[in-house]
Amino acid sequence: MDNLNISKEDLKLFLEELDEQIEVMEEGFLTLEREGADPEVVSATFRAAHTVKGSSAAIGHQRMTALTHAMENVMDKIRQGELGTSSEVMNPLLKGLDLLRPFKQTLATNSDTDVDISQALQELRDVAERKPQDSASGPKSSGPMDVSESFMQRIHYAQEEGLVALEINVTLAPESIMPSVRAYQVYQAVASIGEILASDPTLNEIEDENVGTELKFWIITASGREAIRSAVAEVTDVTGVSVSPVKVPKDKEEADRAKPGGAAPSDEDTKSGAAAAIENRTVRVDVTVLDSLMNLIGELVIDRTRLGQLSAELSELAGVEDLASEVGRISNHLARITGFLQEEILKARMLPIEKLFKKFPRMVRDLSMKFNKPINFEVNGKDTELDRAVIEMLSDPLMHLLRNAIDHGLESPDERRAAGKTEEGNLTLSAYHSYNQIVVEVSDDGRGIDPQRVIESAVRKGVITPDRAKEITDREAIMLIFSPGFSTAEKVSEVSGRGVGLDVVRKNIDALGGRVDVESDLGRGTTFRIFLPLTLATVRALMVRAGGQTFAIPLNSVVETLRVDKRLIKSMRRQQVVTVRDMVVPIYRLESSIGLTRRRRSWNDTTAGENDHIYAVIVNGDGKTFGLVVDSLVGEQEIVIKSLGRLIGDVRGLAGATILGDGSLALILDIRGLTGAGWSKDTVAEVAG
Amino acid sequence: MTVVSQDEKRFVIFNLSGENFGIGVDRVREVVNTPGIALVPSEDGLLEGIINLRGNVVPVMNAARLLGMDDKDPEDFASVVVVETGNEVVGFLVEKVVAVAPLEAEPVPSGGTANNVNAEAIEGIARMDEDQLVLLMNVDCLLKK
Repeated sequence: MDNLNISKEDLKLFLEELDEQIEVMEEGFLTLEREGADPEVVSATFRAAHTVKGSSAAIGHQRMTALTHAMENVMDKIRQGELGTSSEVMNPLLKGLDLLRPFKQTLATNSDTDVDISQALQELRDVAERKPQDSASGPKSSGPMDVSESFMQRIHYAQEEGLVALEINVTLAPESIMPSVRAYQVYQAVASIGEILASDPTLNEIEDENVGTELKFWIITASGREAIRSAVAEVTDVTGVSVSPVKVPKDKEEADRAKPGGAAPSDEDTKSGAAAAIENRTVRVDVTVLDSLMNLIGELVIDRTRLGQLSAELSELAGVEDLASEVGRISNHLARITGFLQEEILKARMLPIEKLFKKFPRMVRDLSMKFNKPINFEVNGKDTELDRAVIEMLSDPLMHLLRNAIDHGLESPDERRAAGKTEEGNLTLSAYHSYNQIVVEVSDDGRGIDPQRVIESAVRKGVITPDRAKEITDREAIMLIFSPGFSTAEKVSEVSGRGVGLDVVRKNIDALGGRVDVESDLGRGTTFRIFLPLTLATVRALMVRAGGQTFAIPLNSVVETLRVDKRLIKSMRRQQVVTVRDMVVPIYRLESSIGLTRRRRSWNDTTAGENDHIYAVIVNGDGKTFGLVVDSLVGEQEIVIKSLGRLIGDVRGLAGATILGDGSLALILDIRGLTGAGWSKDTVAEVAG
Repeated sequence: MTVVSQDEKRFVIFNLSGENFGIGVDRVREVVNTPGIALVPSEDGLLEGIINLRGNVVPVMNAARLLGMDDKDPEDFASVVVVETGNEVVGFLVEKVVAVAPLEAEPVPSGGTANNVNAEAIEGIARMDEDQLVLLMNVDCLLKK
């Protein structure tokens, strides 16, 4: 591993920045490949490569520096119009990016890596050394340094930003045993002070140990000359340092600005000015801080509820009317303020889904090449905002759906032509608001899902019985693709048939409190829709008592509540059932349905005495309707979901816990989880009485 | 046998199925009287449930079962000793907290400890009030399983 000199804090910053720059580059490379050399995109990607080069040099990550340096060289050639932006040029750049990611990973986990960059470096160099497309590109100055126009241009911009361009001459002692190491240290020292425009020897030459006793750097910096001199002089074996300003010839400057194709300086300047202004009004906040703020507000919400209850109780007492109305007023005000607070902090957690969508054009491009299926990939609604926790958890399901669409949905160009479609398949990824939900859609105009094939496959795999297959509707049949262990692909392909199916997609979406739906038109295409709640933080729930404790049943699972005369409970195949509007519904005791056997009397047992009726909450999960028998119904309430913690992990049928107004805890049921595997074997428990 | 005396350390001493156990105060965050424990289903029965500790959900383990002892009806258990281990906060359901006192830790005698207590989880013994024996628990070891 390269020896790095960086503190934990700095590493964090470095990684965050690296992340951003990789994204900028990836998006830029793909745009360039698609749309040609847009000067704005070219300079944005160039800057990104340059920034990474600078910061990786600053922490002493040599391989990363070398790699980004080579990428920067290619970008520079593109910038000067010497190279085009065909796939041949972009492939090595993208490959370079792919190598940066493992570096990032190993830095983040502090592990070692044996990533070999030599091949990628060679490819980048080969590309960079190609013949210029445009022989009329600007003249080069002589000498070992390539003091090109872009070089001058950058000095010019820097001066407009109030920075200075300096030339640094360093002399190393001739008796130095390790001149290349010293040269590298000097390089680092200089890089830590300013942006190195060029150096002689170049970093590559330094790495190749091709170093004499004289070093030359051209940098842009805000630091004073004295600071630079002393910083460089600290390096062992440095015997002389001289710093002088770089002169920019006036006519040359103008020639640069007038030159077409060079990024317009005024544009860039206004942009960086605006960006700087925005940056000043923004702070980076660790997500854990937001999470803990959320927690604290959750507490506040609970207290607010409690205060509301007390205020109501108080207003019923005689003789304290004044006090009661004052407390009521305060309680209302507090309720409003907490409401606003909650809203604001939720907003602070929102991110545009663009952050996630950015990943996909690259993936689609690669898969499109791999399968030889040309694809027109469209992304809509990038600005749609989602809670960042949701965005993180959406990544895998979306990736899966897109892969699925490319692998199974879209046909080969031949098939498409035969079907009278364009050879290029259309694939759309969109996000939008709809009512109180956010919808994320993956849509293709491929072959669609054949319900008949799904049914056959489902029967063969034992997902449904042949009897059931006869009465199933097309729509129900298509939904079967979400069943565990189902995959319509005849042969297992490397991309999407790896045994993880759409059931995993659904499981992930379920975990977010959302749902996934599919609509397919045979021969015309398929659309997957993911519906997500606007926020994960709170949920409305029906509160019930059972087995001496309180449970919360999310309202979106509740069909209705019933008071059933015990004499109307029937027994079918040892399963107790009730009839609700001509439908026979199995009923289970709530606490035994989650496996809370009555292994003891509980602490706060308030089980109602013998009654001639029971209360049942009719719920629906995954199309299965059943009743949960409870001791009493408490009411509807907004609850804040808390996880059970890592130590407990997942418990089947539980979505978490919530803190009630009186400080006690209630378990939140996960009705869908209840109906999953393992359900109803030993839960056919006796209904009270 | 000469025992190399270690520095005296303070322990929270509690009672569990007739035995005295101690956990170093440096590991104990607090002791709470059994508040409303929300029971959570657990296949091995080691997890009792969860409690609300100032807005945080804290799991409560059945300490007697963790130690491999006879499981008395936990209804008699009055306190939860809340300990920190790594990044986790865990509560142990115990019968009754007897004292918080300095004890001198000694190595476990080669013969092992009394009745079926999971020996791995005991890192030492100590004597309290003349003849009372206290088994000193290794919290991390106990939770590793």
